[in-house]
Amino acid sequence: MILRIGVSVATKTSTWLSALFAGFLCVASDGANIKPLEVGQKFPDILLPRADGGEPDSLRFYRGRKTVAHVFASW
Amino acid sequence: MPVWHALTKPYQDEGLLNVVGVIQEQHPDRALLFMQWRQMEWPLLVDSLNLLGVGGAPVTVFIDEAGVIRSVNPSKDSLPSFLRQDFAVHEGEKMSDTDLADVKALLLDSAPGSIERGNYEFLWGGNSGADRAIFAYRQALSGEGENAAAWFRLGVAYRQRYDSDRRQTDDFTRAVAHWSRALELNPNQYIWRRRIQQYGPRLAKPYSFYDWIHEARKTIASRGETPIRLEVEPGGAEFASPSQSFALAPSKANTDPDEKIHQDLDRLIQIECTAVPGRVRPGEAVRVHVLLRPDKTQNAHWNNEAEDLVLWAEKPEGWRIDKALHHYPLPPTPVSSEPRKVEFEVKTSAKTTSPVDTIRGYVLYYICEGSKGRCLYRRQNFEVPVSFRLQ
Repeated sequence: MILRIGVSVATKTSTWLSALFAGFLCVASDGANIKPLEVGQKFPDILLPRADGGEPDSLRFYRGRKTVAHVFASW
Repeated sequence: MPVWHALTKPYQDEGLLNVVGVIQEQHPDRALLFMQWRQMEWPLLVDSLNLLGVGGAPVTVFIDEAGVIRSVNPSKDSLPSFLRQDFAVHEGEKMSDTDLADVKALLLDSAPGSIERGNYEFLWGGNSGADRAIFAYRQALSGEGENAAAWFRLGVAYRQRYDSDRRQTDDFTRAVAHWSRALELNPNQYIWRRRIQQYGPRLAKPYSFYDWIHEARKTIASRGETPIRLEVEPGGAEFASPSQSFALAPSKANTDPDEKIHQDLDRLIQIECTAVPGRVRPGEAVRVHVLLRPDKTQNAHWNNEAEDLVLWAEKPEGWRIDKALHHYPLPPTPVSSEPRKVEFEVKTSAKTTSPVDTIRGYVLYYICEGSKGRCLYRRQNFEVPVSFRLQ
């Protein structure tokens, strides 16, 4: 799944890459710099693959409207 | 999650609310199947590496229009008040120049051999990304051996490669060893703990990681839809089992005790064994995963117009085994070349005093060489070392 997304990144870089260079995205860091999910903190901007193979996505793209985020596993 | 979905959907449909999922599991397509089953339609972001650093799941957060977290694990009835509340969003969205430089540096030249490079290669490196991620994490860990998150991610990258065509010997074994190392350094990380438990041994009170999949497929099919295909089918330890029974297997079930069947000296089948967890205390249980793959370089393939593949496992003295004799049912096609997996569990002896003991066994199978078309019945022995944490 992730591999397929990786391939699509090479060809479809428009939105997320320009967003990245606009300077408001945090690429995966080592985790040490990522703040815990606490009230008052910003939700981390990490850019992540989409499970459906769509373009890379970030919670940053959902700003401007209230959001409910579920961090979960299907198990 | 389905309860949340029912609550949030009307607001989502009216354009008043975004709903987003961030998946913490190794195989994100399983979460997609879950979404299809529950008819939940919101974007799923994949965080198999646990970059968010959450120590458990699920975690639900309310986020305001500026991206600020306003509530963590809120009660369900607080949703309307969250939607009504005016958070007076004014904070500028701009990142500082330093942040901007950091972002570019991470993308373009994160140092070779850094954890950031490993993350980047894993997420965006394409087909060979796992290889380069492994390389980067290993290098980073040679200088930062205590970085628990990096050990965990190295394990994730190994397991991903194990599930791909680029699999190398011992990838799964290494994944388990590195996850175990991560957990030793940070025993409170529930997501990491679950990643190991997912592959066994079955817990005293079995946890049903993926029992829902059977029902999900049935329900989806009954709606006339095709269930999303999973790249890796969940294995035995990922389903709950009603009991954990270790029997003293009757030795007469050993169908080839005198090794009369010829060995597969050409290694037409490649066998890889992994014990989970990698190291146990005497008396604890271990789940053994045996992976059998026809060797592509020799054009080997299974001959299915024959008898079932048979696996026999011999436990060391004083150990118990849940199942010693395994029959792998043959697929309907005359030939095939899929990897075959057999799993079993052993309970080690509490009296063990040596640091390593070995489970031995063998597999009997019908195999054909593609190029010459010669079909054979062969035996191959295997050994699974189990390491002990002695007091």
